[in-house]
Amino acid sequence: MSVAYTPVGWNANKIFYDVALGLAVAAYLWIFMAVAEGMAPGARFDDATIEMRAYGSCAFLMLSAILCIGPLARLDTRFLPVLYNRRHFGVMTCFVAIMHARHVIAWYFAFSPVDPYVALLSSNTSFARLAGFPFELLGVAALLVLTLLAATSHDFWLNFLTPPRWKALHMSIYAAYACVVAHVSLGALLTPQWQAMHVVMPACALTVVALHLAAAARQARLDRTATMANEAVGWIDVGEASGIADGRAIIVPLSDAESVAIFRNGDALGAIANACRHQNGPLGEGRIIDGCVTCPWHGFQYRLEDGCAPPPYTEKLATYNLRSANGWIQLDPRPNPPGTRVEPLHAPARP
Amino acid sequence: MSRSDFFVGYLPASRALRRTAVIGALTLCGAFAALAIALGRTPADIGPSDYGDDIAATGVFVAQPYPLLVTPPDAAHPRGRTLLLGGEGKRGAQDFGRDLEGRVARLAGILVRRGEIEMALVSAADQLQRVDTPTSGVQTTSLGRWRITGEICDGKCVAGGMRPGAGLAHKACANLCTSGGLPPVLVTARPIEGRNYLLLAARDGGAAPDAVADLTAIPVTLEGEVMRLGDMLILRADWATARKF
Repeated sequence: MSVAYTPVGWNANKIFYDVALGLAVAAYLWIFMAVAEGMAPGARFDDATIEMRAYGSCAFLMLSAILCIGPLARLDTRFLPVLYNRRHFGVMTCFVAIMHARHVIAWYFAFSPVDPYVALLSSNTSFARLAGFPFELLGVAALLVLTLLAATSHDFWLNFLTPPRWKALHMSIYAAYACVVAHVSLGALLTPQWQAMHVVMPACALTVVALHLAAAARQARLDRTATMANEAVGWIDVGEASGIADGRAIIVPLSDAESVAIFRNGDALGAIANACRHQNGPLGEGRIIDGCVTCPWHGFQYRLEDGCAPPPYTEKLATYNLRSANGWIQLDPRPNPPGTRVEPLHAPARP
Repeated sequence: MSRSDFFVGYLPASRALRRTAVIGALTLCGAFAALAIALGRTPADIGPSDYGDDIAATGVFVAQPYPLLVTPPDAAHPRGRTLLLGGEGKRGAQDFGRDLEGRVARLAGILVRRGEIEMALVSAADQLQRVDTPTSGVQTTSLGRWRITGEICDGKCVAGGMRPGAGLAHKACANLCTSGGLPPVLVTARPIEGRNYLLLAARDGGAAPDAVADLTAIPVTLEGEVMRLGDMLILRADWATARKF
């Protein structure tokens, strides 16, 4: 967390993340090129084609991996550390994709009287057919989106655009991925020799889809709980006080796509909105650290009693009222204005 | 409470998390390395090609449909050797033979060759010079009307200017080459009169029309009159009947 904008707020975990990712990418590119250049002379692609394939396939694998991180972290909290620095993963993917495009333009669209960028946009106009479709333009579209997202990945843009708009903008990564899948399918995949890609590309795309469906199914189960809660009028029974572990929370879905995180901090219970003000991270899956609710995604913190981030930070969450009835906790689903102090509910933990 | 199983990015990670992170990083590197081996092993499956040998030849220059040089018959080429001519980059050789039509010329260029597809590259006027030797010209012979299936490529890339220089991924590049004046060729699915490719031309024997751009890099069937010029076959295609698969 920081109130000042710095290009990158480095810490040991981010450095480790970036070094590991950089090594994986460097290893991929080096091994790919070494293997391809070692093919027999009659089976060897030219150097430019090898390099554009190496960078292109690497960018595709990286983008697929990025899209798997979100649902994996929803399904298994052990993947949360991978999510923490996902933006650096995205920026690195953008650079690798730019290298792919640079090689393509400098090889296929150069050496001509026509400007390479004009040639890129105009030399194939067979839009009416799938076989022969100008798949390069799908790659251009994806690269534009990746570049836009990389350029706006910094927290400055998150605050400038506001989290909902920033999130909506960055959801365009799915459109970019669809373009990339089509780009590969109508280009490299129609090259019959690249048999390994015929397996890897569909496997990656199906994995991305399957993980998102699994995460959606999990959310649907929570939503069904919410539907049951909606049928109640006024206060909602949310369970026994002893069912909440110290420093942890239970999440109560509400009717309007909102949910509430009810935390225990020692003998005190408090309820705040479940969505982190930073990137809508699920606060209820976080912990209480140093007396503050801590988001599992990027570590943003809030006081349980009033939903305010500790000074000098200014983020505020809605709070909710709790009461106890016969050992059960009841929640008032009507939110208090963000930052409203609510006296904690005293409910000793089970001895 | 214990933080050992909860990751906060800006706080020092516990030993357990550090161990997990190292295992994860090694797994990522290993997975990427394995994928690199799998994806990098693809053979181009296009056969060997040569690029860069010098070539010197003397023969009759033919300007239409595309610049060609037809050398006299010899033991290796009983009908004469017909060389496609190309320029630098994605440019044809039209600029170098304006006053040479039907005359004998001496070529000093760079050879690009894959199988029987050969192209001599010239990049300066002094690489294709007129020779004052009398000649009776060259004869083209009609082999009748044919319907032929194959893939249209540009004659330079498919000869080895690029590897592979064919296929759908190469379509835009092939279009750029042919629009720059390089000759389009039909690489045939089966040999035609012993040859695996034909130079493409318009029905009247001139350069192929712009419509060729819509037909490159995909399987097509063309109909037209096949002509023999030296050891090269030329298809004067009826482009209106072209059929795509």
